[in-house]
Amino acid sequence: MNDLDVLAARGLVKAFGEHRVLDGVDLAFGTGSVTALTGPNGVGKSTLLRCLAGATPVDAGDVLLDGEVCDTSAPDHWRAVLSILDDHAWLPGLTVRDHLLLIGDDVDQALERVGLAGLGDRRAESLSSGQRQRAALAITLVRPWRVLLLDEPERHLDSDGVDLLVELAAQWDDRTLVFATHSEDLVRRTGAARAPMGA
Amino acid sequence: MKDINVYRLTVAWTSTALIAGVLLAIGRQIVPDVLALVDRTGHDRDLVAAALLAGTLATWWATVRRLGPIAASPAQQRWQVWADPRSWQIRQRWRALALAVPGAASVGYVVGLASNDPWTGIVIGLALLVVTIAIALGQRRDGGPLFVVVAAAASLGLLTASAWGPTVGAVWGVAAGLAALPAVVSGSRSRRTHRLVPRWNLAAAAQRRWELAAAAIMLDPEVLRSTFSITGHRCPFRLPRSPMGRIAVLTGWRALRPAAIRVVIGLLSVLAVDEVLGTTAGLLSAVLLIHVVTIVTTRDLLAWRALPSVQRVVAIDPQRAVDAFAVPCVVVTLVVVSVVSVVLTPPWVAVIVLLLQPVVATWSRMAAADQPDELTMMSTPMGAVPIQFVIRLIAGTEAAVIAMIIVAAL
Repeated sequence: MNDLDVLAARGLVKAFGEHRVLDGVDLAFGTGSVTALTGPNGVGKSTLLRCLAGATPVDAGDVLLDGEVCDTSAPDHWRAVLSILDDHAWLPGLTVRDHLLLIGDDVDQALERVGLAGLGDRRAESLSSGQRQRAALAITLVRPWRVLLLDEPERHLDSDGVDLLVELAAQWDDRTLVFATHSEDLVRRTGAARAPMGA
Repeated sequence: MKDINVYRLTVAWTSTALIAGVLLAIGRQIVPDVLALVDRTGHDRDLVAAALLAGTLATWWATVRRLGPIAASPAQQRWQVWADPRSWQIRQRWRALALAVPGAASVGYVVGLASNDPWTGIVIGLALLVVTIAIALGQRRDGGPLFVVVAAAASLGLLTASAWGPTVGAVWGVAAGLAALPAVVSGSRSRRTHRLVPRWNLAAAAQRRWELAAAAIMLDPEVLRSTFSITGHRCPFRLPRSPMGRIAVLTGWRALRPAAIRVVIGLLSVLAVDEVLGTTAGLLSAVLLIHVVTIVTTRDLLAWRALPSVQRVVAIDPQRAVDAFAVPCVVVTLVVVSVVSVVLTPPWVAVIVLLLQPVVATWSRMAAADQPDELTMMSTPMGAVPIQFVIRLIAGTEAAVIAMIIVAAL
């Protein structure tokens, strides 16, 4: 870890029963970097993201934000590190617009950017999987963040949606993006640095 | 196959006739005795009559739920229906009639006894019969207009009966019933002319039936709303800057906008019950209203606690957010309790109970939601389900039951 790293994992260990998914993982992500976690199923890409996001406790090791050990289950960490992982969900009573209004303004602009201009007043569960993924991307446009963690962001997206994702990644060049993916195309087009796991 | 159908039909008719006969005999013996006992012991005759009626109506409703195409179980829809769909659907039509007649008759009988006016019972029974037939027929894709017309006509008949007397209403009821009968007969007389209910229509009907049952069991109309409503009107209020304020305003708007009319109707019902059956019955219905309101207005609160991903995205203290999510429930409860307190003037203990009921119910539901699923299974009509699931389903109801017991004892 150096002074330019905004988020880092130091000796992270995470096990499920006897199976150690993460065994002393050390990784650091610098400001403005784009990193793709790659590797076959089951090597711990999603688990690492969940540990960094505070979605699951670690068995050992630390997560560092700006060089300081941080409590990943605290709102302060969540404000700096926005995570849209495989557990992403929506409140059943609220519309997509409501969800975005909870976290910021400029909602209409964000909805238009992700191609959901006419769907903001729909409940999330009424949208298709791809539309829900686009709505999740709209969150990244409304809410301030310094580090963005995405788990297979290309999932459910059509080719236009993947294009949008690539455009947004280019737009976030002053912030830190970490994503897990199986898409070689996405890694290439975003110019992401590979962090192969399980190697 | 034909023999089996005839056999089943015969058994169904014989069973129905026997059950109807037994119920009639028991009813004739028991209901007058019960009402006489009520008079002797100084209890409220109207309240007991209302309880009897409620029980009978519940039985009728349970009957209605088993009528027509929506009565098809998933297994029937997948296998039996397609073996011989026409004859199956025709049987469903006759089954509807076989169940509807004794069901409506039993309700009419209880109404007649409770009101000491046999004509009122006859009118009510006929009206329910017509509505039942309409429900069974209205389940067809092309049956919607018929359902609307017959239901409207039945409602008009009730109004007519109340305005010009039961005799006029009874005549009208018979006429409406006769008008509906040809539709049933024409749908059943010929296998060639009988139009099949499409498969998607059956599946959709079964889904609606499940949602209606779930909403009734959980006393949560949101189950239906979330199915039928996929959009929401934009919040017209200026949102505060703080996330907490935004949560309170947005969830309040979403919960209260569709619920406002129901709360008003519920309050009017409480006042009507108080007027007709007395303060205790009014307070009992107020407890029920508060229970429903609590469930509806705390839906997002419970969802928030169950969804860590949403907590991470909104990024505020999850516990403080719970307070904001509770604001709509607090507001509606205060409104309901205020109106009930002013109009019904209950004892102060009852007011405290009404105010505490949502707190206890919500706490209970949150505690039940925090219990992880374990391998302890429970046998239910839906099959084996984790016992924690059942506890989650009924959590909060105990607060309403306790509140009812306290209020009734005051």
